Amino acid sequence: MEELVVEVTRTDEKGNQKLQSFNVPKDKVSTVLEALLYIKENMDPSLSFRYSCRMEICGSCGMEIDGKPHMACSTTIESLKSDKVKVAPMKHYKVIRDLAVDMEGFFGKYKEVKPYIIRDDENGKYESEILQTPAQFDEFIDYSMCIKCGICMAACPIEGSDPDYLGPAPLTAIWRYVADSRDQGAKYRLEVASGPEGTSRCHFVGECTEACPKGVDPSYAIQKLRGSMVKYEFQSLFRRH
Amino acid sequence: MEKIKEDVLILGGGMAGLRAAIAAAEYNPKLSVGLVSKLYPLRSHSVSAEGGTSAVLNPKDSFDLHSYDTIKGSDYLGDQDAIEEFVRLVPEQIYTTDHWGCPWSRNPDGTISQRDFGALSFPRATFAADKTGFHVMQTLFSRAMKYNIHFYNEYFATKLILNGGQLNSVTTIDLRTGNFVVFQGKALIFAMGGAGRLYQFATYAHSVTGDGDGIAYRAGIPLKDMEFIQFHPTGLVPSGILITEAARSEGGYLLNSKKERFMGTYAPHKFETASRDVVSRAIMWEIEAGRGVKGEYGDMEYVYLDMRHIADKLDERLPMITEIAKKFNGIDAHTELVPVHPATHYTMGGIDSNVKTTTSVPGVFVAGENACVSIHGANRLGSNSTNECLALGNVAGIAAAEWAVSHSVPDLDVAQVNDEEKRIWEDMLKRDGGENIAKIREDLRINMDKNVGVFRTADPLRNSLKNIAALKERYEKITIQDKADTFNLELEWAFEVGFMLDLAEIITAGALQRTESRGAHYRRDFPDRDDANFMKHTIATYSKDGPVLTYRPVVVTKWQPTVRSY
Amino acid sequence: MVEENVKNLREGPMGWAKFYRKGIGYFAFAMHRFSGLVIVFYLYLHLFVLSHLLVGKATYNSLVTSVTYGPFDSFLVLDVLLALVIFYHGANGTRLALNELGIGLENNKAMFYVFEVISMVLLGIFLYYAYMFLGAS
Repeated sequence: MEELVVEVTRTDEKGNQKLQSFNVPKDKVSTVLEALLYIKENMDPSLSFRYSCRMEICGSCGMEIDGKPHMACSTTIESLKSDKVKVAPMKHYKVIRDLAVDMEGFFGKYKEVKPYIIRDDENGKYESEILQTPAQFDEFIDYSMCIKCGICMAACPIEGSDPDYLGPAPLTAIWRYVADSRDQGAKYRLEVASGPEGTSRCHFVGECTEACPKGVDPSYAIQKLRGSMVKYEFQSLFRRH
Repeated sequence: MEKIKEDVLILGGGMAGLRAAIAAAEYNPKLSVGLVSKLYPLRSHSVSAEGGTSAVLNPKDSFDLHSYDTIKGSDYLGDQDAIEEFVRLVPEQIYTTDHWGCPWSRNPDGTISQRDFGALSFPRATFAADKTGFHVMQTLFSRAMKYNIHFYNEYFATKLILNGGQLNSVTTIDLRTGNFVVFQGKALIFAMGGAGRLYQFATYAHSVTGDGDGIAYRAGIPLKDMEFIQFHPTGLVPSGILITEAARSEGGYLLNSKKERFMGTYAPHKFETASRDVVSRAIMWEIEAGRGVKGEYGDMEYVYLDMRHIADKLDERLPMITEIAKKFNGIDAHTELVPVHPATHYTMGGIDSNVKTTTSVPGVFVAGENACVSIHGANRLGSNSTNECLALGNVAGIAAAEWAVSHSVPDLDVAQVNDEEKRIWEDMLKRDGGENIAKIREDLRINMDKNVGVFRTADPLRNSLKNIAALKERYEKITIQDKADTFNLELEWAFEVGFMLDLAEIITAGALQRTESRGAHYRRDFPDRDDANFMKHTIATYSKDGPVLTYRPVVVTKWQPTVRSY
Repeated sequence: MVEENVKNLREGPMGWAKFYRKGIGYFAFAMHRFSGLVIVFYLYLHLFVLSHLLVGKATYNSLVTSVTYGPFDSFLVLDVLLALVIFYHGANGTRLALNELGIGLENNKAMFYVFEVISMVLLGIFLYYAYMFLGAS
């Protein structure tokens, strides 16, 4: 029977790291996540990792697969084109245990950008929709596909040297709301984006876009954000304060 | 032992939980709202909801029509007063989420667009492409950032402690540290979802293990209508990933091994867009008649979903399932047939509740799939779950906040809490009988798939009860090999399997006693609906010797039961 | 879990040198950092040499002769490498500046190749004339 060698970088509770290999029968599993579950169910129950929806929509199982951050659930064994796979926790995060990393910092940054519609006329009454044409809709819809898996943060080299940099996903969230015709909170958001940990830290590496499992294209969003920031700052020169 | 006190405590971070949290925080900003979840909220299964959410937005549509569709879909087991009240609550929720940023798909004039869905008499499924649940969840989670809601992510709840029938506390394990944490709230909302992972072939996320139902049941809160498990006709073979009903309502066909469109035989008017129980049974009958496809995906026989003739619609209206077929099966839905098989999709039953979301314990509320109101009766209509989470999540949040304003946190029942702490660390972790928890779970799932599936008969059901009893004995002899404090998922599994065994027993017992066929519950030995004896809900209450089943009549207002055909 | 024991997988600038399974954008980025450092180093070297003018003509002339040609004219190779680095950095920098203004954003990768090819052609022309100049003197 054909076997897949899964080499896992493991971290125990005390922070000691080791490499451990498991041989998984190839006909029992079709994705890397299934391989990990197979290991946990049949070989080593102490292997820890996050997983939930197994259909690449919940964002739990981001991990480094063969040196690049991927979702384990949507990485099929077939796509590996090899009998060996190396699995490690995502870079740039703290490891809690084995493949589970600390996402608190990531969600903290997400919260910082006020990722919700801000409207001047909000009064708690919602009796009809806010009209939005399909063209206006198309402006932001692609950027709303982010599943908050944090893979872009692991791919971004700036994130690796500057822990305070907001990072691709939160900046994309800013653009998602700035580009939404229903939103009126651009002022606050553009200030965050133009702050010291905002878009100026991005060097347009593009690894976030390469890595994003949902094709969101954060690097493009950040460049678009830069454009609207320049416009905003320029206009504010002529605005009365 | 750590103790945390909140005014409103919410268990579960899915759609209903988040909606309730926002509602409570909006009701009174001074209230402290705590949301306890075993996952990060965005990892909840609600994000996987695909097709749409029914709401009466068009003046040509009416609340009565929505009610009637729901009642007919429920095979007349839904409480009609609750349904009538519920459908009136939904439209506001659609507009609310729109104001909060949910990208509902639009008409050219800028208004919210709606589409047809299974068993609807008016196209009223509001949708965000085929990622409705995902977008609503992102909207709610993001909106929740605005309020001072305390998120307790990755805390696994083990027990609800009641003292003299009154709410006392909830014990949890903080998965990150392994600490034993006790939560106390003035009001408590259950929003922990369904129990679909009792089955092997399910559209559910791995995390949907019926914890909420299990915890409430053990605490003595009755469960209702648990035998009604919905099977979605189109789970992708072999993974079980959901292929949305919209694939069929947008025009997709189901084909058997002879490439014939077979639904006409079973639902001569609605064809593929009949209600889910009808289509699921039709597929199973086709397979039993030898017209299933057996091929590259192991032993499982399946049928085809044909979307080739609607290829031009796929990218705009069904992008996600097109992507899924490509990514997971390497199938291009534009030109190839997609293999599908009925898969467990929804738990109609849940904690016995009503449209005010209250339960038998004062101050404890329930919303979402965790609850049985009962709106869905014997079969939930497609597109009626996300709207329930929104509408009744909102009701529960407000009700809990109102309750919290006028009540105080009770004194902690230290004796019971200490017992629970002992049970976890001295009983569960130190059991040493050599049984593997994953094996027990697998055997349970195989048993449920085989004996309590789409078709049910007395003997297999009795066998199932025996198997479950045997599994319960094995469960007493488990060994948890992982002894670590941090992120001990095996310990979490052990608790989940405990809940699952309880629920499996209730489901099987309920199915055995219900000697009729209604909605998703189909007895081969009793293929007809029996309104004389079974126009009533099954109520299961915990006792040491297994579930005690009682019955309560269904509330009927305007619509008398008639023959249900699509 | 004891917080101090937790491993942090933040690599810092050392991670920039890892190219395994990375895209062309990453290569452009890492080389941009490297070439920038080289240019800054050269700037200081240049100032160091120039500062000898303060000492006197003879000192300056002897230093310039030694650092320009080195033993066996080998330092000329470094000059060529310096020119390479500056041309690379300039071309990529121009691309980034244009991209940030929204020009050519969709085709930023193709733009990288085009700009680099143009800059390398320019480098070739430059080196040719430099060689001719050296030969003439």
